Amino acid sequence: MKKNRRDILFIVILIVLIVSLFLVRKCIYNSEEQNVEITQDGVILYVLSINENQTITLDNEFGYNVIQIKDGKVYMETSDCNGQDCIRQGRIDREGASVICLPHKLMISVRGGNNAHIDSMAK
Amino acid sequence: MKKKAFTTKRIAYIALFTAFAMILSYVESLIPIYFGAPGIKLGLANFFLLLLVRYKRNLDAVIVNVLRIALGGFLFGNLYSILFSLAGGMFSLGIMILFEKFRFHVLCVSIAGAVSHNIAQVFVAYLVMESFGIWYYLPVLLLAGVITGLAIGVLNKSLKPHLDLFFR
Repeated sequence: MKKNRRDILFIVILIVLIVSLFLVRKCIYNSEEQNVEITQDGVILYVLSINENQTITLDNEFGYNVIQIKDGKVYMETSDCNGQDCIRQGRIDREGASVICLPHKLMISVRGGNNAHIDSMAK
Repeated sequence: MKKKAFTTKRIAYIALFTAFAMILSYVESLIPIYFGAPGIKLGLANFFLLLLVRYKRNLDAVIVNVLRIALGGFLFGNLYSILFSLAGGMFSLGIMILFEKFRFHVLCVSIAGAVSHNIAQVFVAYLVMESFGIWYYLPVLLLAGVITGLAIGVLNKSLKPHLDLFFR
């Protein structure tokens, strides 16, 4: 039927459009730098690139922590705190996400580039 | 179509649909769904507009749309949210009427409405904020539009037979 064909055409065009837009988006925005910010007791200790694999070891009066940055994701590898909640919070890579170790007053968060304040506006 | 006059019945269902659409879009806005972009919602208000469009009551659909956005905006939102909603809502309604006119399938009409709504909103957001960063959300919003449009379309398809009696 002719009517049916038009519907299928519309759906196909839409799917192609969406897929291509996702690809374009990946190309354009991949270059955007995301940083990992490590804060303890309100003091910023490190600001690191999320794309560089490295291990940060913190051993101070708050306790012992090992933070891993690997393959564009950050996570808490070791912590000698009681709850171990920080390890269970898993790997983060999205802007605004964070891993928090409350007993050690330690916070790891991902900070984005220039479009950090759009979320609050585009409702 | 010679039903130009505002009969009591017509006024009644315009008021009813406006109230439904308004309160549903408010309730929806209270439910946060994070799906890659902010502000994604089901668009239940669109259900009533789609219904009116399918019964060829285009003028009524426009009236309901403007009323719900203006009233809902003043009650629950601000001038910005009215601006955003109006751009999205009117564009989407226009597209739906056009698709209905060219005899597309219900699901296609619904999806077209949802997707065009999101496109218009991103465009307005871009004009207001003058930031290219906003286009980052477009693909996700389009995908969300397809899914929510599908949901509303299915709902519409299955509920319409029960409402045919009322709109005869």
